[in-house]
Amino acid sequence: MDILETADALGGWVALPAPQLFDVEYWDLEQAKLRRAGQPPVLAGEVALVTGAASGIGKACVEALLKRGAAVVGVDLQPLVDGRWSSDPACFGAQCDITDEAAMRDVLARAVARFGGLDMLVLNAGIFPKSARIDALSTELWQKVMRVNVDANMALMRDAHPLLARSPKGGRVVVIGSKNVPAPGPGAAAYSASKAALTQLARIAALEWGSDRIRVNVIHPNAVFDTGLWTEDVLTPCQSHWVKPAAMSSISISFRKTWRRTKPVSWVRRSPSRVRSSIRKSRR
Amino acid sequence: MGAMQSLWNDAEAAACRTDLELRAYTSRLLGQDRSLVLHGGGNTSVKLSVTSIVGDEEDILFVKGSGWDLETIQPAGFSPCRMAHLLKLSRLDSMSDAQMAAELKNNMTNAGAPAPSVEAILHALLPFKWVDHTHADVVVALTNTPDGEARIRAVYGNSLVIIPYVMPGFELAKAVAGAWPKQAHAGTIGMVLMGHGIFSFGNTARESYERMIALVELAERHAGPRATPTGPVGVSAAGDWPQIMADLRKAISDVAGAPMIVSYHADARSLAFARRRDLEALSQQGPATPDHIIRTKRVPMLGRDVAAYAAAYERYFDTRGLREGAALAGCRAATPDLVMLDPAPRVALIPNLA
Repeated sequence: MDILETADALGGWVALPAPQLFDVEYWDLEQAKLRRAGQPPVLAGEVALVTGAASGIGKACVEALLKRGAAVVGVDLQPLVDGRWSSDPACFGAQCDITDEAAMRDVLARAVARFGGLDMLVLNAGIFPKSARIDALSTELWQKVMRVNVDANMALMRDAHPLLARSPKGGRVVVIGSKNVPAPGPGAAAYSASKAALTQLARIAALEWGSDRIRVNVIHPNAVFDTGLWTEDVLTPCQSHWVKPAAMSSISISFRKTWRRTKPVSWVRRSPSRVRSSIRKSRR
Repeated sequence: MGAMQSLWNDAEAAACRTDLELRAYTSRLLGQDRSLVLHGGGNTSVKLSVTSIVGDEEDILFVKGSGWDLETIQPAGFSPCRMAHLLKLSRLDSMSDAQMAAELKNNMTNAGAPAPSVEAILHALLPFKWVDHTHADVVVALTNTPDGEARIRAVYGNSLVIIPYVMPGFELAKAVAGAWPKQAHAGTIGMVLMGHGIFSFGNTARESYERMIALVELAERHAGPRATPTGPVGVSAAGDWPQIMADLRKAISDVAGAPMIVSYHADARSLAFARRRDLEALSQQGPATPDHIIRTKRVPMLGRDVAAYAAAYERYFDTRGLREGAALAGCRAATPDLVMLDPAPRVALIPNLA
C-alpha cells in the first residue's frame, strides 16, 4: 500500500506489464521456492478452537493440533501463559469464562478476524467439584456444574454452527465426555449427570448436523491425571474406588480425514507407572 | 515511510572478528528495516581472498544464500562462490536457468553451503568489495511511475548506474555487464534496477551500508511526507460479517483446492486504502516488485466474487500473461506442460468490509 500510494502521489503507479510478471511467476527458480515448501501437514489451513486450553487435555490438544499444521484458538478461564499464545502466529488465545455467552461470541468473531473461520471445535473445558453424595448435594453446586459442563457447551455449539457449516472440508466437533458417563462413581452426581447430558447433546448434534457436513464425536477419557480436574479434594476419595488402572500407552489424538467416518478417536493415556506415581503423590 | 537512519554501532561492528562476520552484521542492519527488504527481498555480498587447504589463494564471492533472511543472517548463510568461474559464466551468450543454478552450486568452495542467490553473477561483476542490494519501498515507488527513469536521474544525478527492467537472473547480469562500461565512472556509488530495487557499493562494509541508507533517504526526500491514517477502526458494522468472512474463506479454499487461512484487516490504514475511489486503477496492475508475485498473485481480488477472480486468473495463465498472437506463440513460457498454480486470490480488497 505504501509503495503504490507513494508512486500515485508522484504522478501515477505503473506496474510491470502482465507478460513480464507472468514470466517471473512461472520462472522455474521462483516455482522451486514453492516446491521446496513440500507437502503441507494434514491440518494445514484449518482452524480449531479448544476450550480449557491452558492445561491438561486441552493443552495436549492444542499441541497436537499445532503439530499437524492447524491454527488454534485457545480459550481458558486461567491466563494462557505459554509463550506460544503471544508469539506463534498460528495461535490466538483468549482468557474467557465459557459461561459468558456474549464474551464467547466475541471470541468467535475475533477468531474469524484472525483466521477467517472455524473448522474444529474441541469442547474440553469442564469442572469436577468436590465429592458430594446426593443427600448432601446443594442445588447451587448442581447448577454450577450444569452451567459449565452443559449449558456453556450448548451455547458455544449453537453459536459456532454457522462457522462449522462453512468449513471447507466439513466441520468437526470433539466433545470431551468422561469415563463417568458409562461408569459413574458415588459422590459425583453433578459431574456424571452433566457429562451424560453433554454426551446426549453431542448425539443430537451428530443427527442434526450431519447434513451440514459437520462430524461430531465424543471421547470418554479415563485416568488422565495431569489435568486441572484432579484437585486433592477430588483425588483422595476416588482412590478407594480404583481397582487397577488398565495398561495404557502413549498420547495419540487423530482427527480422521473424512467426515463421513465416525469411528471414535483414540485418546490421551498414561503409562501405569505415571498413574501410580500420581497416586503416590496424592497420598503424601 | 519514515526517515532513514544508519543503525551502525561501533561496538557491535568491533565485535565482528572477520570480514564475513561484518558482512553478516550490516546485512542484518538492512534486514531490520522492513521498508528496505519487504518480504525477504534483497541480498548482499563481499569479495574476499581465501587460502584453500592446499595453499591456493582464490578470490571468493560470499553472497547471500537462498533460505536465509537478511534480518537474521549469519556467516553460514553466505555461499562461497569462485569469482573466476562466475566471471567466465558472465561472458557466455546465454544459459538456461537450470544450467545457471547448477553452475553456481557446483562452483562453491563449501559443498554444504546454501545455494547462492540467483544474482550471484551480477554481484561478481560489480567491481567493489562490498555490495548491498535492497528492494527499498520508496525507490520501487519512484521507478514505477510514468516518468520513473527521469525521476531517478533527477534524484541521483549520475552517481548511479540505471538499468531498465530485465528479468532477474542471467539476463539481468548480462544487461548490467553491457551497461556498466557505458555508465560507470569513478564517482559511481550504486545502481538502480527499474521496477526491482537499488544497489550500493563500498570499499568498506560501513561505506556500502551507509551509502544505501543515504541513497534511500534521498528518494524519501524526493517523495516527501505522506499522511497515513492511523488507529484501529474495529470490525465491520455489518452484524453478519463473520459469516460473510467464513463464506469467503470457503469459496477461496474451494478454488485453491485446500483450506486457507484468511485474516481480516480493518485498521484505518487498510480501510482507507480499500475505500479509495481509484482503487481499481491503482490495485489492478501488479505487485510492487515481481518477486512478490508467487505470494500475492499479480492482482488482488476486488470484492468477493472468487469464481470470477479464478476465471480471470485462468485466462491470464492460458495467455501466458495476457499475451496475444505472435507474442504468445514466441514467449519463453509458452511450453504446453506448464502447470497452473491454484487460481485463488491471496489478497482481497473489499471496500464495505476491509
